[in-house]
Amino acid sequence: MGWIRLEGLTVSSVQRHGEGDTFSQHGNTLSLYFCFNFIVLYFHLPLSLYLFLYFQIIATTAMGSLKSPGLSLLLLSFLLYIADSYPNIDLSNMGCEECTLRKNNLFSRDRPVYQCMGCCFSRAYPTPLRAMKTMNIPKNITSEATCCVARHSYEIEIAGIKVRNHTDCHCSTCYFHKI
Amino acid sequence: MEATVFNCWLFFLMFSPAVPMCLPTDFTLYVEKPECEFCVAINTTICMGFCYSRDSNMRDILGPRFLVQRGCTYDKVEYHTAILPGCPIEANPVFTYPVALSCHCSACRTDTDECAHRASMDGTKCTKPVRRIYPYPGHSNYVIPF
Repeated sequence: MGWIRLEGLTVSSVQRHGEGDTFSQHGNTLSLYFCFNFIVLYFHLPLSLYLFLYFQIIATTAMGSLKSPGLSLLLLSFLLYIADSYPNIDLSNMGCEECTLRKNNLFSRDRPVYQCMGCCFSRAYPTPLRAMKTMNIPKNITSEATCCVARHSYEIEIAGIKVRNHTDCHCSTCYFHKI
Repeated sequence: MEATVFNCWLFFLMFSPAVPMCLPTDFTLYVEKPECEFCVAINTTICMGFCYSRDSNMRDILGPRFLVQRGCTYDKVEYHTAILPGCPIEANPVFTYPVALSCHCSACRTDTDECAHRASMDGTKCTKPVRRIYPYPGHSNYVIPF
């Protein structure tokens, strides 16, 4: 399997570290750590795989084969993976998928329940002078935002709880984005 | 080893999403005062892009509790000042405008920002001759007209 081969390459590259390592070997290993981390985050590979590799590296460290910067990097990658597990993470700096239907695994037990989520366009710019004169309280910045909401939905009952199953999504008015 | 690293990055780049995110973007601001002779075009930076949002399956019951709604807005902002050409002193030729240093996806702050769905862009049209002003070299916070 590909992941076994990848893991094997990573561990073997770590074990080769020692005196006289070239910069390219360190750079390649660091690149591989970053690349592996992004693939895990994007494709949501099982956490067990990550933990298995992590403890392999820990064991290698105990034998003195891995230098501390590599271990710090792996720990950072691990923390990033944990952070990615939280559903409310801001995806604006990690890539943005379009507003579309996605399965809500929490409610999809007897039948699939879909939820609208994704990215929509928004912008903030200096308020034009002409518009500012019409404001009761002049504001220097105008913010235009659209949010991913359901265009159509129907009500169903899941375990006695009434929920709405979304059937179509679009980027429209945000009603709850103000503080 | 190098081949493995290259293949790994190539695999990541092929499948990573390519939607532009919330970033500072160059923007031309048009300022026209009735008392002034010209419509002044000022180059600035605004926040524009895509932000993640999510609708709730239980909005009827729980309201906005599990909603995620954010807009691309200013994170760090700097205010620059420009002197509008062709304006009499009594018309206050000094004009202050925001410049985005960084942006982020966040809720709209009603105390400082005008939160709109789609604002009218009529205020950006000029009815007078357009004059451009540029930042004075070495003075990022002070703009001198031409």
